[in-house]
Amino acid sequence: MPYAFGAAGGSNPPLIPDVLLTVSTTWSPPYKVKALVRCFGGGGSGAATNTSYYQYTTMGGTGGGAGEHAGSILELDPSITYTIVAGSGGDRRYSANHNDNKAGYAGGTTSFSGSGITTITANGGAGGGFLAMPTVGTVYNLAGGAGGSGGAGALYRHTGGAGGAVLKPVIANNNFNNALSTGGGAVGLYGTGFAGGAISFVSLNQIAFASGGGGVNGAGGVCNNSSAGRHWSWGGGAFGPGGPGDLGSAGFQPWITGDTTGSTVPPGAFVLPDSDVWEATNNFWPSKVMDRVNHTMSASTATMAPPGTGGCGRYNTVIAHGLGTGATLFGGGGAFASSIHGGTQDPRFCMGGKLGGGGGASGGNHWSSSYFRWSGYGGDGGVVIEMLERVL
Amino acid sequence: MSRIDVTKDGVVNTISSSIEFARTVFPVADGYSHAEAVSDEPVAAVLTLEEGSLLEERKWRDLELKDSDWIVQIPDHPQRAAYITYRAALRAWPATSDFPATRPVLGE
Repeated sequence: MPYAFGAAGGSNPPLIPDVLLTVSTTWSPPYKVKALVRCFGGGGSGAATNTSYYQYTTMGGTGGGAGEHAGSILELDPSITYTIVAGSGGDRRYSANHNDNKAGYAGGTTSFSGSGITTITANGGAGGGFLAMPTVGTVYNLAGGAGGSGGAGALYRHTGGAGGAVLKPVIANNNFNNALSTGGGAVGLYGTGFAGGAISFVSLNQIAFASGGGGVNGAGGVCNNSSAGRHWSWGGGAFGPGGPGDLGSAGFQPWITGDTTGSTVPPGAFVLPDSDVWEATNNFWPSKVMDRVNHTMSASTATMAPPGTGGCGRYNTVIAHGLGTGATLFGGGGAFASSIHGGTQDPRFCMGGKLGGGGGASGGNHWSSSYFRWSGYGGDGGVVIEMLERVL
Repeated sequence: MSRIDVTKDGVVNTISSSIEFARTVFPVADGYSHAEAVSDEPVAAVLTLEEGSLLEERKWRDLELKDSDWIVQIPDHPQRAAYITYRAALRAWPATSDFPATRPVLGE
């Protein structure tokens, strides 16, 4: 079902509203228009891991890559039926038992085609991966799912942000029990997309690291806390990177009215990434809802995270630490991690944002096999048709 | 809207589409095949949060009993009496109104 957005460009009226299509369908304009047609591939889903305490290992799982963003300026004719194929986001993975570890799925390819135009394609992001890191003295690296790239037929193409990486953990003790999960990548609205938060692992036991997803103007926060316990980071934002949440820095989260330092816990409610709050509003593009000078949002949306925000990393419990949000449009999903005490997950927070955000990884290391885990879906791809002017 | 796997030459593209639309745009005559994408998530095995909580608390109880079993076997263990009381409370816990919200606590 296509959604129509208000506030189309400022050309001579009448000009039909911008159109968003997130399912495969056909479409024709009511009259000839010049439009910027943007295709977004589906986001890859995150990896799901589930490790027994008695395996004595450190398990890494990474977020999925965001879908590619490809666009062209086209003249669209009412006599032509255009075909939109919407790539699906990667399905989330389900880890039912100990050692039931699964890589994420890739997102699908999105395309826009029709007679007289060059077909635009935008590829989906890759799924996140997982890696056991059991051996003392070994240096491990685990890349996040790669962002979508390699599409065709477009005026421009932006590679999606990768899932967060787990970087060079040196395992110093083979009795470690750790769960390391990274957030998904964000769609590249203005260039190559930003990645989910990286984890720089330090040699500790019984920790859980969950990094935030990427935002359209900054990566998810890095998790590199050197103290024992469970740690998380903010997702990247529409105007800057996320911060290492449990060290007191929220990163630059300008949807908090009046907060220009990024030090206040966001008041915004958790926003389901598949919410229709964006329908028929002006609030689609991050650049249209943000005040770039004062770093605040327009009044109509000040109580929620803006489009382009990465999801917050979370650990051990469904209860929010702070009031971090899930991913919004284009943003990468936050990761979930639990260590020793299990914890019950709310998998909605791992979901990648609509229009190609990568899904976050989930992982646990605990006694009980009953702590099943879900990773985050990749955000579904789609096509946005921005009306530029009517062609007379 | 369904998730449809469109396959050609071994390459799968998962799209958000009806199966009919997928067949129209990607014809079998051109070498495509189509199928509803299958999730690996066994719906029947997914517990509600409440069910999951009950199961988790029982697992925790069982583990506590298992891990403290050796203590009550040692006559001169300094906390033997406390553990005997604690283990009795653990065994009785699921039948009480405290289950699953309030876990038994080891006394002095």
